[in-house]
This record gives sequence, C-alpha cells and structure tokens, in this order.
Amino acid sequence: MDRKTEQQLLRLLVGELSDEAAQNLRLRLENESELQHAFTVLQERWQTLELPPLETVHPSFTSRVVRQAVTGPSFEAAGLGRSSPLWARATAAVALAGGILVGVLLASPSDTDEWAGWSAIEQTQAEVYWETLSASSDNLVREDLR
Amino acid sequence: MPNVLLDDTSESDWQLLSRTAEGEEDAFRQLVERHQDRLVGLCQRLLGDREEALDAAQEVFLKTYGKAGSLQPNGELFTWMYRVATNHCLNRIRRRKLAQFLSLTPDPGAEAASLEPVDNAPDALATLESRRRWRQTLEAIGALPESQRVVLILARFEGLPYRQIGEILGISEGAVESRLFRAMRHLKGAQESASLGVSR
Repeated sequence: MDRKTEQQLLRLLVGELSDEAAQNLRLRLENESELQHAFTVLQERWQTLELPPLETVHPSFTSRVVRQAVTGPSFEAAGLGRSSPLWARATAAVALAGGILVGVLLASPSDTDEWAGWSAIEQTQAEVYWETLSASSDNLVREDLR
Repeated sequence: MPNVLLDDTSESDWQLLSRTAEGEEDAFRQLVERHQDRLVGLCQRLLGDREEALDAAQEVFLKTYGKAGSLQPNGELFTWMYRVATNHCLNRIRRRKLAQFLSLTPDPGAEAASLEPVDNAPDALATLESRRRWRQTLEAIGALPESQRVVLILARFEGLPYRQIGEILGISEGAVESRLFRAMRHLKGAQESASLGVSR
C-alpha cells in the first residue's frame, strides 16, 4: 500500500477527511479487503494507545493560581516572562564592570612609593639569586679544570 | 474549541482576559477554572508527572495573567495557552535532560503515581490489565522522537485537529500529518517487534 493511501486512512481515522473524501474512502473500504485490513490494524493500534484517566484539578489549585497572580511575585519572576530589556541588561553589565574595577583598585597598593619599595626589594633578591648561581657555576668550572 | 462547552451567556476567553487586564480577579478565576483541567492534563501527558504538571500549568496561567493587557484577540486564546504550555513543558524536559522522558516517567515514584487508577477500581485483574496497557503506551510513546511524540499526544489524547496542532507547534498542517504518520509507523514497528519478542 502506498504512503498516500495510508495517510488517507489515518485522516479518516482522526476525522481529517472532508465528508466527500471520507465517503469515497469508505466505499473503497467495503470493496477492498486489503484496504479494510489495513484500516482495522490502524484503528486497533490507535485505540490500544491508552493512558490513565486524568484527575480533576482540585479547587485549591484555582485559588492558589489566582492568589499568586494577584498578590504573589510577578510572572517574570517565575521565569516565564520576557528577558530583561536591553537597557536593563546594559546597566547591569556596566554595574558589574564598575564593581570589578573598584575591587581591583581596592585590592591594589595605593601608595606608589610603597609599590616602588616592593619592586626594589624584589630586584635585590633577584640580583642575589643570580650572583649565587653564577658563583656556584664558577666553582664547578674550576673543579672541572682541576 | 472542543471540550470546552460554553452556553450562550458565557463570556468568551478574550472577554474574560480583557476584564482580567482591568483588574477583575473574578474574571481571571473563571478563566483558570475553565481551562485548568485540560491544561494540567496536557502538561501531565507531556511531563509524565502530576505535581510537575500542576507547577507548569500554574506558570502558564501566571504568564497569561501577566500578558492580559498586551495580548491581542487573535485566534483562540486557548490555542495560545496550549502553545505556551507545550513549549514550557518541552523546555523543562530539555533543561533537566530527562533521559527518563523516553518513558515519560521522571522517577519511579512518579511513575507509580501516574499509573495509579483514579477510581480505585475494585477489580484487581482489570486494574492490572489497565496498568499493563498504560505502561505499554508510555513505553511506545516514549520511544518516539520528540517532534512525533508531541504531535501524537496532541492528536490522540487531546483530540486536536491538525490545524490546531499546527498552530500550537508553529508548523504546517502537512508537517503535522507527516509527523503523526511517522509516529504511527514507529508504533507499528514497535508493536511488531514486541509481538516477535513474545512469540520467541
């Protein structure tokens, strides 16, 4: 059976065929056993799809929803609203960047002299290190020459 | 809208929403009462868990409330709510990377709860048989690709026409038909495999 006929059967099953088309197909079903069989199988497959019946929603749900809507947090807070407008997001980004900048400034030494002092100490320590290293290298070379 | 019966005196959804936007709490209450069963049902079918479905439906109603003043009366409000609910449920599933969604069962406890007969049927055999069928359906639907699964749930369990499913999912009627067709073919293959397995 071709796909088009199968789709017609499915349309008939779910009530999507026009009256005229449905009538024509029913006539064919009466006369064509293969078609009739295919439709029966399709019907059975459709009807075996069963799920538990749904419970009626408790009236307290209605009250809860209405109360939440009228007095509770807005739907935006529920995560369903539109995302924030561009200006709000831009303001938030600027505020965040400003905060970071302030944090960096506060964490940095404010006195430049003090910073220069630290730099000088670091330089001195480096110099000591290199001197020690070159001295020990010289010793090793002398021992090798002996 | 199928299954939502309104008598001549009932206000339309859009009228209720309009009054909601004007701050009339009772209008919103009516809107929730009118649609809560179907919306929670849809979420439960998609999420496989009653409690999560209630949360999801609540968020959809809150979004409806929040949008009351800006939504334009275009088409059916409930179709829009269905679309929001469907997208929301799918996002939830994707967010939690729910591998168990393949069986529509987030956890064993939820599964047991979702398969519990509602009316406490006294006939134990009938209850067992019902559970067996439900489990089979859960497994079969869970094995479908997401796009086909959603269409099947909307068509089979929500009874929606192709046109409305297309509106909810933002796809054409042809795409709805194609996905449903492929879903049914998948199910056919699954049933044949299962029957082969049983006969061995």
